[in-house]
Amino acid sequence: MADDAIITSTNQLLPDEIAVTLDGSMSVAPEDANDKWYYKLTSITTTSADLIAGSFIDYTAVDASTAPTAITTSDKVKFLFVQNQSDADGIYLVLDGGTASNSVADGIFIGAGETFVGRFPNTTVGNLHAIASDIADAGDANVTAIVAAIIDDVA
Amino acid sequence: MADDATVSISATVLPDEIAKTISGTMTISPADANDKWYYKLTSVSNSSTDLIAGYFTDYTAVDDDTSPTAVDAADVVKFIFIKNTSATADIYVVLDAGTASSSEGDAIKIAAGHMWLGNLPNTTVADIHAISSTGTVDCIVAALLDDVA
Repeated sequence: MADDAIITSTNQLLPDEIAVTLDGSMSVAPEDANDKWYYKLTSITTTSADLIAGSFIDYTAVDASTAPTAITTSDKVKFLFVQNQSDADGIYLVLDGGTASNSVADGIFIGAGETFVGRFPNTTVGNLHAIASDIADAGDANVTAIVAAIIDDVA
Repeated sequence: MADDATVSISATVLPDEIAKTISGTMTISPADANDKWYYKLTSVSNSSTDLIAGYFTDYTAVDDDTSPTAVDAADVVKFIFIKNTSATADIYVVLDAGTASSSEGDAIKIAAGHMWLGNLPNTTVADIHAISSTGTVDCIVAALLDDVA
């Protein structure tokens, strides 16, 4: 379909003696005109904060003087792509509006140079928090990340 | 390193007119002998419950009559790979021990035929719950667990 997110992956798993390579894929299509793309080269700080803010990309035709549509914290992040551009520091994400940290039980870690993708049917922009942090300590530097998402503009 | 999980990802993102394919990798190495592999072709039912249970894979040498080491609810899921093999049903996963459902605010959706993977340094076996959208769904579940318990 038009404007899909398409993910393919090759995954080597299990101990070396029985290592297997499994292919995987994920395809997320905008369901309707309210599912809109978002992109930002994002600076993630060492303080937990919303990962996403700003405006949607204008990818349905609008005239030149129409302001881009603002994202609200109630909009839903249906698909998320994050690529950590740092070669030294990691990122933690949480999906439940909690404080992102390197000790949070439900934190998702994106190591230096690593990529994360996920599909979240109900997670709002306001619930998706991020922090620059390492596994072993709280981190010491901001991290730049490529963030792309399909967001349901519900608000 | 030995026994790594190695992932190569290719992601095509953004609207068609400006679509961009971005490649990425992820390598998770066992930190020590307590980081052990787990594998199961797992039946995920339509009732929220633990996704992982059972035993580690014996990949350090043991004699033939040594029982496999049991996975404990307190063991930490440092890396997880889930592939939904169903052609029709989705699964939903939560990481905070809540009840997995399609309406949960922090649920992760793994649609029919899709995969998901993550690096979860603090999430325990007991924190990961899964449910299918309907019926019972077979999922390939492979994980590197820290055998802390």
